[in-house]
Amino acid sequence: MTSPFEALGLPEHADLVAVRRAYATALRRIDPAVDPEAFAQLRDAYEAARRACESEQVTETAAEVDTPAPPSEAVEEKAEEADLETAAPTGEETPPPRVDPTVTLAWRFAADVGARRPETIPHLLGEVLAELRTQYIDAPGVFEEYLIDLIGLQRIGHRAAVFAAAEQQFHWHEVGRLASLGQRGQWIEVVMAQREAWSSLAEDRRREWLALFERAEAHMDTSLVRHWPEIRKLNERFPGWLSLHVSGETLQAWRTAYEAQPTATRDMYEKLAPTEQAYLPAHLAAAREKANSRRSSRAVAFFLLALFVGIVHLIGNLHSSGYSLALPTSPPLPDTPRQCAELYAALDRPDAFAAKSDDEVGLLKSRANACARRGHWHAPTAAGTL
Amino acid sequence: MIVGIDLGTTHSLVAAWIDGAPRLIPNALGGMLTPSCVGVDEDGSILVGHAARERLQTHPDRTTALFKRYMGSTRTVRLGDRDFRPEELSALVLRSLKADAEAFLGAPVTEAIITVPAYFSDAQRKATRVAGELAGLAVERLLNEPTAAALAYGLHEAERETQFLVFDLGGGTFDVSILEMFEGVMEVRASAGDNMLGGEDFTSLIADLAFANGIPDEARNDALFMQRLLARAETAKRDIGANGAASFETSYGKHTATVSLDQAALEKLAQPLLNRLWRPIERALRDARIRAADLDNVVLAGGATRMPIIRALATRMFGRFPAVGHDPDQVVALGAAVQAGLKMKDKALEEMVMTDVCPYTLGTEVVRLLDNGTQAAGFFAPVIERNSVVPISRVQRFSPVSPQQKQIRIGVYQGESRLVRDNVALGEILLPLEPGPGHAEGVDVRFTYDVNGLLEVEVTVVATGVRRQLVIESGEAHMSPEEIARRLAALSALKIHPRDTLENRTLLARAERLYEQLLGGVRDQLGEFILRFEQVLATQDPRRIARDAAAFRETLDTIERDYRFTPTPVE
Repeated sequence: MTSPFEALGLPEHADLVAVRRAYATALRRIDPAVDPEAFAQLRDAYEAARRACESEQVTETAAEVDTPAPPSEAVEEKAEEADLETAAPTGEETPPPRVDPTVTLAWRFAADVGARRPETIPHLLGEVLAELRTQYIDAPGVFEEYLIDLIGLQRIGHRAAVFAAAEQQFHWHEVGRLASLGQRGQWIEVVMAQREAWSSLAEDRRREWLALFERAEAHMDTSLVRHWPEIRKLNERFPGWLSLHVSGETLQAWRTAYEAQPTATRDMYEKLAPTEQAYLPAHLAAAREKANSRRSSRAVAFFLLALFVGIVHLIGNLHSSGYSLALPTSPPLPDTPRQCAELYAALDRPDAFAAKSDDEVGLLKSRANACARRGHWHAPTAAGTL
Repeated sequence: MIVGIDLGTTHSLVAAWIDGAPRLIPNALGGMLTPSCVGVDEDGSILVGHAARERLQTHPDRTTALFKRYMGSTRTVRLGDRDFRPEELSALVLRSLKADAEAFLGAPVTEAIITVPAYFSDAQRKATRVAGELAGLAVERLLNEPTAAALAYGLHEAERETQFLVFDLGGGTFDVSILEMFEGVMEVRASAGDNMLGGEDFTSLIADLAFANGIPDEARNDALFMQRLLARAETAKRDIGANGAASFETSYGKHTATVSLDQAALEKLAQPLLNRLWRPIERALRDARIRAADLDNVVLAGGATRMPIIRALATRMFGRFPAVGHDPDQVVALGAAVQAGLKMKDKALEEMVMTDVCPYTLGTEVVRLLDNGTQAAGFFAPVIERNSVVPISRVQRFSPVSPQQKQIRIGVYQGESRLVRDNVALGEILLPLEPGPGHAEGVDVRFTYDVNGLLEVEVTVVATGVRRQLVIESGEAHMSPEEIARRLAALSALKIHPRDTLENRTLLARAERLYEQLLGGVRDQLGEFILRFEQVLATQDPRRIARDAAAFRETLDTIERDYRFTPTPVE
């Protein structure tokens, strides 16, 4: 296996200028139309060498310069500046701090959205973009990033509607579009995958939950408390998607209100919470019932389409929770079937969750869920698993 | 000799690499721009170029234009008593350019580089190649238009290391490409575009105002009225560019409408079109991972970039004035000639190399497992990502959904949506699968995309080694070799108007168009002139014809100047 530098006839760690020159020289000797294979080899070597040079440059710069503040903090700082600017001057002679007009626009949009009806949001966003386009070509992209941060940090109202409008306006459904947004794009992808899974649940149930969220956002009253167990389960499965409908503070208040109940009441609420079966739409629930009762009624496989190998990766991503720009660089590896079996055995013990923090319990649960989704499911012997 | 041809929506040009420089070749009338118009004369002969454009307003049922917009589709146009496919109409234009080049170079021309919009699809590219074949030209290369513009521009910048953007708004298509030059290598970093956005859309927007101002909608079905209205709108568009404002009057039966526009009103009217320019630019910048501020220059190509509202928009977008240099109408043809020089390995271009990209994502359809264990079909799995450097070949392995599966279908799609239903279907391949060991290994799908932007797909069943290549379903725009041969024979049988008398034929067509536009005494007088000129032509005395033609042209110039709908400023 030759290194890309070797393939270009260069010593290791040659610089970008040398890499480009070597590529240019080699390219003159190849006619890509006549010898595409030689060209492909040269191109691969060039791209790999260039990447190596660029990453080296990045580490060098990173070593010299202090780590920059993560964008999420940057946006909050800017937000405060913007707030300062909009605050009425009190007669003091301090000049208002200068703010990028794009950021100001993002904050004005955020302020406007709360008072609007959700169906008018696409139009409002369209107007803001039209205004951005009177500026310069990079402005919509800068705005887009701020907007994602605002949604992720829950600093904007009607987040589900804003998210949907932004998805349309910025074409998030396009191939490669989210990749260009880096970690923000990853977060959007997770939310979209959770939304997809969510929309496979029974429609009337989804409507009820959305109504609950709306009530909870307006006022956390006692009639809502009994719903906490199912809301908690939803939040474990769809944290990103839920964050568009209900704020972190509301969920916190919900939990606190629930925990304030006497143990007996809480147990009753837990029992009242519907099982997963109840979430499924009628036809799916029936199908699952059937599949469980009789294995022979196996659906006949007709000419089906190809199956994308990388599905597992996507499902793994479902478990990234709330918005964070400090996403881990590499997601934890999924459990092997054997690890899954061990995990289930451990969870079946009555003291499975004893002496464990909420975070640890959450992690165990999400690992177990991931195992189940990949089919490494060993039917639990005790009741009360997920 | 290889020539470079810009086969445009409204105009076409031919150029060649002569004595170390690109050079445009004039047509029979001495002009560089040949209108992409084709018509059938009363005697059944084919007219191409200016004569056909004049006749668009007098004989709309026997003349056609803008057929580039239907390339790659099955739509045909009826001229006189014969149906033409867009490939055939393009071939007639190419033939006319070929004749011009042969007359100019004094040698037969059999090879050409033809430019196509970067965002042209596979079907549109194949149709362009067929058009070349039908015109008797071996298409050495299909070259992307913005890349051609960059070649013409970069010829003088070869010493520098530079990044620039080509903003190419032609008659019917919009392309944007971002390029980087270093060490004599010109590399396209990213391309994006809109196949259905061009200067013609601005013209029809102006024409539509007539319907808003009192012309009834049924007039849209009147080809003669529509052609004249469009011609006036086109004049108005140019006048707004030159003088800041324009107005014209048009009537249909007893209905009359006046259309007045100035720069600001046109900009407001065209806002939806202008908004569509943003997206491809944003995407290209993002894909190239370049901020607008990092660009060294913005190069304008395509006739529509002459419009002041477009220039103003480009200036605002990039915060700088676009590069001045080549005529935007000619830069693509000049670049095609540079590519011809590269192809002929000309010494003057020894140091220059160019690489291009594939502007679309190409991939296949897959089933995805959802969170709750159900399967959902219709997802798009990219095999070649957009803006990959071409030529490129990529393989991916796909497995069958079910262990009982007896067959696998590989759908081939082009587009950027995560769902195949929003992408363009290019074709499909069905392969048999055998149950047993190795079944789950599935198939290897290989996509190969060549320098001309043409796609090949090959699928191999891993276990059995059964191999299939993509055959795009017939019935679509695809033409089989037999069909091409048949059409070639039919086209060759057509009588083309002789090149040496084309100039006079064009004069007559122009006079006829003016005759129909004028009223009263002037009209009768012009009728007399036409009759007299026809008599002179009948004498077949070359010297007399030449003398009278010059006088006749002057007369027409005068009439056109005096009786034209002159622009009036709008308050």
